[in-house]
Amino acid sequence: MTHVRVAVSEAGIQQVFRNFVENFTFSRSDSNDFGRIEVGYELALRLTGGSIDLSDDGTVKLKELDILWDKLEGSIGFDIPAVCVGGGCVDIPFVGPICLPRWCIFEADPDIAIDLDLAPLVGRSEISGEFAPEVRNFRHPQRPATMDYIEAQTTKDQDGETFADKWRVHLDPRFLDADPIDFADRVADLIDEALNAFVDVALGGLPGWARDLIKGIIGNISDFVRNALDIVDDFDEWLSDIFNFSFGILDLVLDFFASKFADENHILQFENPLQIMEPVAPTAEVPSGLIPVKVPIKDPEATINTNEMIVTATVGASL
Amino acid sequence: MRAKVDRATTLQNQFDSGALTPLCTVIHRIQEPGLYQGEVLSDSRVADRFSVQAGPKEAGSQVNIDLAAIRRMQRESFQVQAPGAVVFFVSRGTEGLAVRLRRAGTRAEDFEFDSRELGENDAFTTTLLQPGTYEVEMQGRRERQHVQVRAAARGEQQRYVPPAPILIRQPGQQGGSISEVGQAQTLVFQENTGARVKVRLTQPAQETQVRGVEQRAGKIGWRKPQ
Amino acid sequence: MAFTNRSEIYGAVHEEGINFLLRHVMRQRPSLFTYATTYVAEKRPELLCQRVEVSEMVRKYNNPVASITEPLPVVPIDKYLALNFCLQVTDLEIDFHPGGVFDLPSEPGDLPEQRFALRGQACAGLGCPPQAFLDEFTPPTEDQDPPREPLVPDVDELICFCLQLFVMGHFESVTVNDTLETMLKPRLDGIELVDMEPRGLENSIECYIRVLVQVVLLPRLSQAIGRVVPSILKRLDDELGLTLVPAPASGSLSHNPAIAEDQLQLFINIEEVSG
Repeated sequence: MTHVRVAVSEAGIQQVFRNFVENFTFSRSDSNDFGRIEVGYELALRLTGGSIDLSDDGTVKLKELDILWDKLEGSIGFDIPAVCVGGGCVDIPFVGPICLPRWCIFEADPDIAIDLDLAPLVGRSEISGEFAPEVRNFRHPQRPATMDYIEAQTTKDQDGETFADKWRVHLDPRFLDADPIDFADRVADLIDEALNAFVDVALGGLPGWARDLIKGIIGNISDFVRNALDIVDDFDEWLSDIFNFSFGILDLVLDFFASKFADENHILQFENPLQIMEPVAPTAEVPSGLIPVKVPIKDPEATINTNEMIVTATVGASL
Repeated sequence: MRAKVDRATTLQNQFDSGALTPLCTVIHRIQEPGLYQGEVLSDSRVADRFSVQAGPKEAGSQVNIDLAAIRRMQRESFQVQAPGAVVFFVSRGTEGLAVRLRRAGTRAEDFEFDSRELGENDAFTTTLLQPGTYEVEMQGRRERQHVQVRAAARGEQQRYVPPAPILIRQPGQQGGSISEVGQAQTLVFQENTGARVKVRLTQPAQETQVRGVEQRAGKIGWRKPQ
Repeated sequence: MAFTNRSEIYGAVHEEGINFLLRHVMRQRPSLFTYATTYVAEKRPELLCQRVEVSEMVRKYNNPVASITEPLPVVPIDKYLALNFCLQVTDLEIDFHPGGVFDLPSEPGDLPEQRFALRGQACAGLGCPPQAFLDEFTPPTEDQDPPREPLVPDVDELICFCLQLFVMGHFESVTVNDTLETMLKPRLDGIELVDMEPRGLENSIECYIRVLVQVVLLPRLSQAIGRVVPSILKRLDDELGLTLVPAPASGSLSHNPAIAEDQLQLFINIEEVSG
């Protein structure tokens, strides 16, 4: 039969959740080659808002948790093809059809690197999901087989964790969803501006007519780049796809959230056996001191209904 | 971030068939099959040698020979069909190179082709980038021909594609005519070109004329009073 | 009806669980329930009135089975002569309203609301000196200096008697100064020794045992029982940023802690969220 019952109301679980959200941070950076383009990112984010509902189906439902981007920077690097003049074919009398050589304006294939501040341009992304309570038995992996329960409670590892067995109540994520990263089409403008700035700098030392000629041959720099790199979509869609699918940024965020919330943030933890009387240090009258009094806790279970989370357990008859 | 412009090439505004630099070529047709020996001249001295094998069917009907590559010792033998065309050009470097060809086995001074003295059917091409008026001087002719290079119309989103290469016809005997060509269009000179052709910028276009479409400087006029 | 409809957090321990808990306390802290003189405790533990069952950890860590007390003085020569004895409390069991673990003696009546009852056995044993010792013992004269310690005759048996005792009590409701650790404040309502004659002797011994229970046993046991629920909730307070306080006993919450349905119930609020 159930000997011990502890119930935590929905408001209590909401408070635990609010605390977790307030203290959550995530940062990551990475880069990769996608054909002829190298894309990198650096991000740092926090969470805000969100609501928790306990449900009679035994789960905790999370809604509308917003991602706050403290930093979302992208870097794009690529080679553009050379810009050349000359070339073309002409039929020269007596000589025949001739195709002429080209001369290229840049000394080598130019490589472009642009940095973008994307945080102001990324749309709202919300996380939602579902959790179910789970009780897990934590056994310290380094606990020696011969260690008794009294030593286990007083001996700590290098992280300050005791070797005692513990019952932990987790809220285990069943699933988590997030809106895909969506860049406003201003990203295309941003890339356009960056590319134009790049070209202006590259051509900076030349007289106006030369700059105009070269820019004329390049045409719209963004179209030129997109054609050269086989980018079919507009830049904002292309970048969104890279961030969502190639880098899987939100997958990383959700994985991290799940492991941090579920594994590291167990809601309840208590040692087994549970200590109910403190040990007494040796004295003159009792040189051996007195061992602590502990009771075994068995068969813990955790359930959720629409009002509260309930944890039950049994006191064992013998240690 | 590397995007270094080849300034020397880009800002060139005079060209000489006898002293080749980027943006111009000389073209010669080889008729007879056989081995030809070539020499690259710098400042009238032989700087490098190369050979052209004319005849093999697997060779192309045209061979482009980069004198700068020969100078850098990157290549020294070429092949072309016979008859076939040899296009000499310079990919980089403004020192001004000349080139001559003779059939192997002929006498040392018996050159079939010498870029300092073009033959009647040899061609000279040049690609003019800077807008303005250019003067064409042909050795042996008194009249100077003028060519006007028109700046590209700069529409905001459109690419500018330079027009295709154009054969420049000789003007009549009197007066030099002004032909108008597009910016970065290649000009091909042939037909009584004389032995040496020089093209140089005499009147750069005004900056206001360079921008925009068909802009003309404002005119001031006088009318006879009625 | 939700458990948390009168407070943010609810905890309850069933009397059966507490009875298992009491058995663990008795086996792991035997010296709380057995008192004896040095001779009995350390040299002749087999003389104790009741055999003491201890956990193997008590043996492993060499913990004492009994607390040492001074021998019983023989007045007026208490400085010269004292007797071995032992006092033991065993077989403790608790019952919560409405009852059902054991029957109460008719004197205290049925178990009222918000009351708990404790049943146990109290045994005492006296080391009566053998006749041979008394024949040989020279009573001290008034002008003789007393020895450093009174003489305590060794014995080979204790004269034991055991009484069944019943204790009735309740827990006082929390005040605004209480914390989770001080929530359980037991108060004794009555104590009864079963069927003892003469009444004067029963009352005196009841008094003695009442003192032992009220001052020593009940506070220690309450503290132990009161550790169960707060230990389970500890992480919410320590790591997860909640501040837990006992819910005030007012309005719909008339008693906190409460005894009902065979359980001890604790009502706890979260400081920021309490409504």
